This record gives sequence, C-alpha cells and structure tokens, in this order.
Amino acid sequence: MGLGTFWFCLIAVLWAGYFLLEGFDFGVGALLPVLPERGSERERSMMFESVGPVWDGNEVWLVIAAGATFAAFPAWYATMFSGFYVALLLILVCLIVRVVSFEWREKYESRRWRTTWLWANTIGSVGAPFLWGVALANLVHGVPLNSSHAYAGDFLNLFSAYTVLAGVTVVCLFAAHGALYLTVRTTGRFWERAVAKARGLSIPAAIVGIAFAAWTVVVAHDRNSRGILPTAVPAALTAIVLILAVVFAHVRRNGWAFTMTALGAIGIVATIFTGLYPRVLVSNPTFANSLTIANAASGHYALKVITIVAAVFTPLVLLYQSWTYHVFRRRLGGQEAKTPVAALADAARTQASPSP
Amino acid sequence: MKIAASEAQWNTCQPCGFSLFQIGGFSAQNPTPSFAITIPRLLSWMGTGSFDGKIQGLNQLQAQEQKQYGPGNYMPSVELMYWSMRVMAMLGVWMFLVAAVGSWLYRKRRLEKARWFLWTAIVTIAAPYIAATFGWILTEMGRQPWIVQGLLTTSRAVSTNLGTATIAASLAVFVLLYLTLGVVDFVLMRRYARADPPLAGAAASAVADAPPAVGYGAI
Repeated sequence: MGLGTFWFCLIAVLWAGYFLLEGFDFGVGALLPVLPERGSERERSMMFESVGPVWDGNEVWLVIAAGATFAAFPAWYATMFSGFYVALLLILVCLIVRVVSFEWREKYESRRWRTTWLWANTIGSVGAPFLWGVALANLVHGVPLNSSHAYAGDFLNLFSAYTVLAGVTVVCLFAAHGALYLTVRTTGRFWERAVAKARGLSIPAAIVGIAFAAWTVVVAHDRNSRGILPTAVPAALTAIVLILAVVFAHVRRNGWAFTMTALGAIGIVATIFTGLYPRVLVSNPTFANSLTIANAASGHYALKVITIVAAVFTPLVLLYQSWTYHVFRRRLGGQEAKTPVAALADAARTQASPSP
Repeated sequence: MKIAASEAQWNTCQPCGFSLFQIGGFSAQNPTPSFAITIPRLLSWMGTGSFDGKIQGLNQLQAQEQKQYGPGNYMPSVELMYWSMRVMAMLGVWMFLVAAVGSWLYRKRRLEKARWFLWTAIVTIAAPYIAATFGWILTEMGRQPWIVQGLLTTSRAVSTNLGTATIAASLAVFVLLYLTLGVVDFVLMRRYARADPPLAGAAASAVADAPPAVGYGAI
C-alpha cells in the first residue's frame, strides 16, 4: 500500500471519528426543542451539559480531517474547498453560531435569550451535518470538473436526490445517536424520555441509512466504475448494525444500541469512501477529469514527513480525548444549573446571613 | 523585503536608524520623509544584531527580485507596512507600561483608588486585540505579491471558479456575523462587570463548589 492510499484511508478514519463523536452532540443539539419536558429549563440545561465538556474535542476531528486533506492531497483540497465554497461557508456559519450558543446560553437568565441560543444550537446542529452529508455524497456522486480539475459548477449543482438523501440520512442517524447518547449519560425522569425518543428515532434512522447505503453502491458503480462487491460489503454491514440498533433500542439495551449507531456512523463513511476509491473526487459528466489518489497526492517526501508527525501525535490526541470522557463520565441527574453571576450572588447571600 | 517595507527603508543603509514616527516618505518618488523622529543605529541592531549592520533597501531588493523572477512590482504597500508595524509595537510598549504602573500602584496599595488608572486599564483591554490584528496585517500584506515566496504569486493562487460577487458576499456574511457577536459579547461583558462584587470569601467558595460540567473554556 502506497503512502497516498494510506492517507486516503486515514482521512476516511478521521471522518468516521468525526461522525461517531460529533454525531451524538449534533444529535443532542437537534433534539433540544423536542426532547425536554415542556418548559423544563432544567432538562434543557442537562442536555447542554451532557455534551458541554466534549463537543469541542469532537470537532477537532473535523479540523484534522481538513488539515490532513490539505497536507496529503493539495489538489483535492483546492478543488473541494473552492468548489464547495458556498456550502462550506454555510457550514461555518452553522458551526460558529453553535459554538456561541454553548458559551452564551447560560450567561443570562432571560427566557427569550435562552430560547434564542437553544434554537441557534439546533439550527447549527441540523444544518451542519445535513451539509456534510451532501458534501461527502458529492465526492462519489461526481461534480463537474474541467480538465485542470477545477470545479465548473455552482452551489445548486451539489444538490440531487441522492445527495439530499445523504444529508437527511446523516441528520436522522445523528438524532438517534444523540438520543442514545443521552440514555447512557443521564438518569431519572429525563432518562425515561430519552429512552422512548431513542426507540422512536432508531427506526427512521435505519430506513434512510439502509436506503442511502444501497444507493451509494449503485452510484459508485454507475459514476465511479466500481465493482458492486467492494462497496456492497460496508453497505451491508451498515444495514446490519442499523437494524441491530433498532432491536437493541426496543429491548432497552441502550448501551448496545448506542454502540450500533456509532458503528452505523462509521459504516456510512466507510461506504462512501469505499465507493470513492481509488478516486478522491469523481468528475461528472467528464469522468476522465476525476481527481484520483495518484494525481491529487503531495510528493513522496511531504507524505513521509506528515506520516511521521501523525504517528507521534495521534496516540497523544486519542489519550487526552479519552481522558476528557473519563473525567466527565458521571451520569447527569439534573441539578439546577446556575449562571456564574447567580452562583456568586447566592454564595454572597449565604455568607451575609450566617446560618443559625 | 518585509523589513525594508515596514521601515520604509528605500535604499540600502549602513548603519540604519530606526524611525519612530514620520510624515511622508512612503513612495519611490518621494522617499525622504518631510518630518521624522529617528533613533540612530537601532534598526541595524534589530535587523542584524550589530549596531553597524547593513539593511537592504526596497529599491535594491526590487531590482534583485526583478532579475530573479522577471519584471513586476515586488514591493508590498510601504505606508501600510510602516504603520502596521508602528501600531503593533507601540501598543506592545503601551501594554507593558500599563502593567508596570499597575504593579507599582498595587505595591503602594493605591490600585483600587486610582480611578484614572482603572479607566486606562479598561481601555487597554482592546490593545492586545488591535496589536494582534495589525501584526497579522503586517505579516500577510508584507509577503505580497507572493502567497508562497518565490514560488506562487497571490494573483495566480486565486480560485478560478469563484466570482468576485461570491467572495464579497461571503466576506459580508463574516463581517456581519462577527460584528453582531462582538456587540452581544460587549453587552454581556458590561453586564458582568456591573454585577455587584461578592464578598471575597464567598467568591472563592462559589468557585470551589461549581460542578465540573460548567468548566469548559472559551475558544
């Protein structure tokens, strides 16, 4: 296996990690308006707290995936980031607004303020994964490229029935994944609600997920001249884990169901990238203009250098990310969350009036 | 080229003085400032480590790059470079002075009473941000017209499939978004600054009691 292929696989792994991890915090964000009991500020805060310490670490996987693409496949990066410019701009707006919602929502008590940032989080948590689904599906579905591999279409070229299904799949899968995450991170009455919601959401996630995986096999065959079998294997495995997720969610084995949606998120990425190999961005209608691992990769020396860097730092990153999850492993029971100002004021009051 | 441009040094000099402030002298036709405050020999020392080191001038570097890369203008905007460097460096000195005066007042136990200093300190909150911004302008504008020195010019690196309108629209989106976030952030900080300060002991215990889940830092 050449270094180019190795980096292609590594980028697939990074996307899979991103879908697995950020998948559940996007899911939690998407469920913010529908899952908590009506008007329960406490349950909303619980949802924010469940992903509060980890969402930004999860997002790092995306940054590294983009960075790895830049370093290992400059031509791929150039075409994709110029070609998908408007889509990426919208994704950035979604992510920025979402980041701010985590930081600002709890800084002020007013109902309108909190509602605003709750919806900001939800819009970001639905919009970004939808657009990522569309963008990744377009890699294998093909976009118009000219003979110098530059993008020759516009924003609307990115949307077709197949790529929109990809977006919907990612959103539905993440919603189920997020609900299941909450079932392993919370206790009490809220936990009951999360369990019921996860059960309901696992079914549409499985249906669109299986449809998308099957369609990817066909698209990879038609537009990327891939054999049926190589793409059918990850697609079939994805279908199996998504069905298992439904089964486990219905027999209340929530930890297992969560594992299955995690594998489903990996499976979706694996299916797309297997369908894509050995190209990195399919050109359609002129197939000959496609970007391949060979014509998009950096020079051998650059690949060697970044391989060494990756070998040193990847274990470190994995180590500290697992540490974060370990520190925040305790389930959330739902104590009232306070703004720092309110906490200080309360503390001042207790101090001012000494208890008898 | 970046040093020569940020110092508006049109011709090679040895030794070179460091210009603190100058009026005019920012174009090849008019290379001599009409007014300048200059510290002798300082630029030589900053550029080479020796008080009579040689710093190459803009005209000489321009001629050299033309010989190497073909005809063209290889100078960044000299006036912009000069002032970005001055704003960045002077704000750096300003922040150091504010910190020094603050420490002195603290030692003298007059920090809380010195209203003039507290106001100065509040205004200085903006200084690191402004200094960093001008530092970025200095470094990014300073390498023009290259995006990779000697290999790729910025004009050749531009995306071919994106029109000016798309880029302008995306820039407008970012400016509006960050402006809005900036205003909201300012309002929030003002609100927090105005909240009554709690008793010292209470603040410490409140921080200690805070659940760990609240503690994720700013980006």
